[in-house]
Amino acid sequence: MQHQNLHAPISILHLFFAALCPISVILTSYAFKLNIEKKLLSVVIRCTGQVFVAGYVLLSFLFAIQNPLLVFTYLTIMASLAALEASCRVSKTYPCYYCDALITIVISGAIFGVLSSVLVFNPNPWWNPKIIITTCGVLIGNSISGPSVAVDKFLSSASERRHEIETRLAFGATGYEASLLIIRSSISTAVTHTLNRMSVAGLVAIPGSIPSHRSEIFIAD
Amino acid sequence: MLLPGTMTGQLLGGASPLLAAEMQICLFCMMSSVSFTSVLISLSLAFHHAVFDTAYHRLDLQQVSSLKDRKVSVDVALYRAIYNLYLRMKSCLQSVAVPHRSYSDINMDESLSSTSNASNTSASKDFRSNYMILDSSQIQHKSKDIILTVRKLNILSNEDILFDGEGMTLDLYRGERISVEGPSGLGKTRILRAIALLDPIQSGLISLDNPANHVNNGERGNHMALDSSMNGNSFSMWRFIKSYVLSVKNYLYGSSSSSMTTHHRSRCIYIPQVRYYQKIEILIIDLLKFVDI
Repeated sequence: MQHQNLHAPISILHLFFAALCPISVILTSYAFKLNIEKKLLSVVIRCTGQVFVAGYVLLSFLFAIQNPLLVFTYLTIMASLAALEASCRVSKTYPCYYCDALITIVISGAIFGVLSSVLVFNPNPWWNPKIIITTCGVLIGNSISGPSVAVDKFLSSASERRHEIETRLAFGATGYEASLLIIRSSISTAVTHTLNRMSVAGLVAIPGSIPSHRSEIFIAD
Repeated sequence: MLLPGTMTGQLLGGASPLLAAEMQICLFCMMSSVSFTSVLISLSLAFHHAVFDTAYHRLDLQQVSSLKDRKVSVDVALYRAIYNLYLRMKSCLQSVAVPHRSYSDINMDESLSSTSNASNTSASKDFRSNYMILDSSQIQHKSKDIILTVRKLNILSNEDILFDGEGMTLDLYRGERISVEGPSGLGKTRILRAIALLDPIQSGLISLDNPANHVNNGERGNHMALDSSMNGNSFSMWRFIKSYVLSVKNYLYGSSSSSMTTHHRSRCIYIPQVRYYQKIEILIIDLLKFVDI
């Protein structure tokens, strides 16, 4: 692996040029009264701050210190923030949804985080923060959007298609059989995004910031 | 610092394309499996915690709420409270003679059910009796077999307990038709759904034949108490009642209630509300058909 500097380090002027793009989008939205400028502004500011904190402060700090306890504390914070984000993203919810989102993220993140970092990437100390934080960040980021889309679709279609499900129940289906239709549709809705991304990866897009477009935020947090 | 592990980040950071591609392949495998697994886990958690009452195989969507609805702002809550107070005062002013809103037992004992059509009209004027039972004696029961008994049933309707005191008691004979009548929004459908086990019940016992035959002997039989689990035999029977209740409901939605003639009713459960109701819905459970099966 050769390290070559393809570009000069990004200066304040370059950052300003980068910031011009969202500003122009915000102005367009304002001009046409599209009502998205507030959201966009808050997201841009949030993203900038978070990525700055992540990149310049936290990660370099973590990577330099190399303490396993610190690494796992950081992972825990990431998981709980991800669960918070997931529980805010649904339009329908139930009382213990935050706990369920946390359980989901922790279980799936633990299984595949350990698998990917230890078996596949094989870092030198097995908790090497450079590997484990980045892979877990990507994985946790992926387990936010999928489940929240799935649960949202599941809950809303369970109440919309209530009569259909109850008719099935009445004619002898178990709970799982009766709701299999909406389970299928919510799974396919949730996974379609990932599958589409994978099918065009390399052909259309050099996969890069695409998979990390959610995880960046949470690495930053 | 861009995210390492993603291809663009690595390429910009100056890694070799081959290495970046390998990393990316590994990450994509992990990402697809992690999103599928997390979707499965979260769906199964939602299924068990919010959507289904898995012990009784019924939909239980009471806990599900819209995220926006949960945050009712203070002024909206205040407005609602004032409006409710206004409604209540209005109904009080309109008639002083209105009794306090209370749901008494719907009692289907034979002694009470001898009250006939004549007292029906008087009772609907005077709502002192909160219930009204019709038993038109010209219609003979086809048999004396009790096929459905409801004992001390109590259910929640709009976060109110529907029956004060003892709860609802009902004996249903083989071949009998029964109608449940009352103003809209009082809980007729909830009663039917509770009897069909589509909704949870607060307390009580619903069973498919006379409980005296079984309960005293300590046998479960076809009984379905709130705390007991269903056995296979009664389970299919419940399924049938459920389908029947649903189909009758669908049928009635399509037809006007005026088309119903009096001979359809052998007994009625009246659930009158205090004063203001616009529309009387009538639901009939025609139990004749499923008894023949």
